[in-house]
Amino acid sequence: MSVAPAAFKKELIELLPSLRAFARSLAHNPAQADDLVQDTLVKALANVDRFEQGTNLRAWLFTILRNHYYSQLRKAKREVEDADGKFAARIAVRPEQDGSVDLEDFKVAFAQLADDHREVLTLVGASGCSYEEAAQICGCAAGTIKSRVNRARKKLSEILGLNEHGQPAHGEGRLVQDIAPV
Amino acid sequence: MRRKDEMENLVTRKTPPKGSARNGKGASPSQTTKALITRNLRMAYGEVASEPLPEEWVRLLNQIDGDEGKKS
Repeated sequence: MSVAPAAFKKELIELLPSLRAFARSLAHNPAQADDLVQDTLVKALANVDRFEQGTNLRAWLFTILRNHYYSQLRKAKREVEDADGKFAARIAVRPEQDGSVDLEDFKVAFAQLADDHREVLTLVGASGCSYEEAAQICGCAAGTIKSRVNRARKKLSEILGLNEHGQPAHGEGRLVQDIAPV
Repeated sequence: MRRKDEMENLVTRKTPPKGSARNGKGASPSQTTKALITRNLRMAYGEVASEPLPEEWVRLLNQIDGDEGKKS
């Protein structure tokens, strides 16, 4: 191992929750997502000699997971679908609601996005990756990530039926606005 | 020389209302919408991230110590 095992393990443990969340955003199915993470761990441990200390472990792990996911997709030759939102409905225990945002509606809408839109929103919007880091993980230019994030947000706001003020545009929207307009 | 009808078109052509391009099909979501999406993304992300790690992962991670122990 070209990296200190203790430091590698510590960083790996710290990254596991975000790796799991990234897998969950891709896989549409918690069990499949956990399998993805486990396969990623096995691959990472088997190839740890290729990882150089001081480089970006998160990008390395996310790239392994992403490549593995798309490799599985290609093998299966079919897209994972969740048209009826069953995954989103069971993705996690419903959190305590503060009466402001219907998170379950958001998950259902998010699950309807395309793979590449879900992954960039998770990377940039949730896990805190920079555009450059997300570009490294996705194997494309940072500019591509920026435009993809923008399109993903736009698509998501359309699915949620949000107007330009982030409020439901039609009828009795269930998503409640809780952020003051900027 | 331009034809008369072309000239009329140039003269009478209305400028698009201010901000109309941003409200069109290619418009970006507003800052408020972006903030709402980001907040929900982080909440959903936080839920997954707070779940306990499966035992199998812990066992795999402990292999790192074991492998190092074998080498030394």
